[in-house]
Amino acid sequence: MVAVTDDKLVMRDLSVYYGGFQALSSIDLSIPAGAATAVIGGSGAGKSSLLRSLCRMNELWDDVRTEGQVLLDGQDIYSPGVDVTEVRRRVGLIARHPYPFPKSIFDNVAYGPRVHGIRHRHELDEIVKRSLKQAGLWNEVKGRLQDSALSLSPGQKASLCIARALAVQPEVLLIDDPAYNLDPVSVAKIEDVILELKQQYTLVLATNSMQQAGRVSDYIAFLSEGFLVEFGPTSDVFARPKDRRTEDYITGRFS
Amino acid sequence: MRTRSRRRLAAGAAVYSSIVLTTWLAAGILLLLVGYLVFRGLGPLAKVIKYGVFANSGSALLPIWFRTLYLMAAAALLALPLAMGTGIYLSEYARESRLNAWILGAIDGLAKMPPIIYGLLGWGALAPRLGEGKTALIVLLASAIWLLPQLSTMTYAALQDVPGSFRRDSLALGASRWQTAWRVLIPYARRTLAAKVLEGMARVGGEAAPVIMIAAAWPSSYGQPPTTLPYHLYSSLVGSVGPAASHHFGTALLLILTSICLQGAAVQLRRIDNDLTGSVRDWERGRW
Ligand SMILES: Nc1ncnc2c1ncn2[C@@H]1O[C@H](COP(=O)(O)OP(=O)(O)OP(=O)(O)O)[C@@H](O)[C@H]1O
Ligand SMILES: [Mg+2]
Repeated sequence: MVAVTDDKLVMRDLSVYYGGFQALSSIDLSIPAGAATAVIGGSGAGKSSLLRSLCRMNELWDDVRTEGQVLLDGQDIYSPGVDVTEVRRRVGLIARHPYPFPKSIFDNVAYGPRVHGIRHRHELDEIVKRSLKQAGLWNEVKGRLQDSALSLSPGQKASLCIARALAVQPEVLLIDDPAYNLDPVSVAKIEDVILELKQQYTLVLATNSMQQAGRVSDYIAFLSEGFLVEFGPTSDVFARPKDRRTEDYITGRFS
Repeated sequence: MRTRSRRRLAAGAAVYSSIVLTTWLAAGILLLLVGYLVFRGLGPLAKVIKYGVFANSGSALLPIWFRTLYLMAAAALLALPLAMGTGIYLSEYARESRLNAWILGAIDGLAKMPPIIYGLLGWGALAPRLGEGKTALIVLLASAIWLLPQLSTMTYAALQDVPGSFRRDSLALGASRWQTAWRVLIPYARRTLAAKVLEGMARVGGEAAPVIMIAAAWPSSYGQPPTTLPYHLYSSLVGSVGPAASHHFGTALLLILTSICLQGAAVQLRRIDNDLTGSVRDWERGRW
């Protein structure tokens, strides 16, 4: 069992509406620091909505309304006066099916640091190298950093997007559906990277695969139709689910 | 039954072949026109390039041509920053609303306005304020204003056409909307944008209406309006008696060649496209 550390992110009575439609209903959930939490649930359960609300990315749609609080290290990211770009730097989101920018491999990874004001070449070199290593891509691309990122294979593209997100030195990394549209070999590679990353970062991943959640997560939050049904250490949820809906989902009896 | 379907088949074939025929006819007429211009104009044009002036009219063509090129480039340079700002604002900042849709429609309407309206603007609004001796400036401003809505809508359209994942991923890294537009979206769309600017320049360079408009109302004491290629063609034809002379054909040929070069460059620019294998186009505007 994982030792419970401080909570990095705390959702208090969090509701998200798209126009008149309520996608998340009064979520109370605490994300432990320095661990991987899997948000699971069927299609349309609200996993992506939850991840996006943790970095204020729901605001990309004009008709979104968010109620309640999201505390990052005790500070509400929705309170007025908060710099949204700084929130998004600290809480990185790798959305479903991320895609490299049509730039070189180097410029993709250096994009975030540059946007946040880092100019010195050798500093950028360091960041790019470190991030690509963390994403498990360095050895494959170190000789061709100036090549277009679009020349990479789909699996490498996915890894590059992880490196791109790591380059801004986030504290939390939200990863939405890391297996989406990828072959099993690439997925296995990315899961290895995730296992490495959770030593240093607070991770939240959305997935509808119980197997994946079992392999990489320390905690599981189970969502159903916008409600948080169950939250607990992964081993507990697998061994003794408290809610029938969770049990059904684990055993593959989808309702 | 049989005869009816056979008859339908015959009708279809007739429609098809007449469409093919008209297409060829249109292309043929165009080719004939250009060929005729080349035939009549190439000699005089070659001579004017060699000696500087038309032998039989004494008028110098090259300065007029340079002035036209200058007008095209200057108008585009003047209009572009403002137009891009407008396009970026409408695409990246403005919330989806009825007002926004209305503004877009209005700009689109302005972009499609006949160019003589902009000549009218130059004559009616700019000339009285800028006054004497500023004809070149007035024509330049009127042309830039004419380009403004065209380049605004094309910036907007080009930004809307960028795969949505680029915008999403950039913002998720903590980039501002402006940084996202400037560093990711515009570079992605730069070929489309450049092609549209070239097309706009070709339009400015080929349009006589604003100059005519300003020239017509200009008190002669203010001096000549700036002569551009199309205006030169127009005024020298109006002023001459008898059928078109060889220097008219030379002028027309130079005008057409300039336009063809710009349009051709635009086509070339657009042909080299970004290769986004396995991209995100299918769901880019949807939910993620
Ligand atoms: N931008 C949006 N506008 C309107 N409705 C939305 C939007 N995004 C999501 N929804 C709706 O909110 C609900 C939750 O969607 P969400 O994408 O969070 O689910 P999900 O658990 O991530 O599903 P999936 O496994 O398919 O990714 C769904 O009913 C969806 O249709
Ligand atoms: Mg989702």
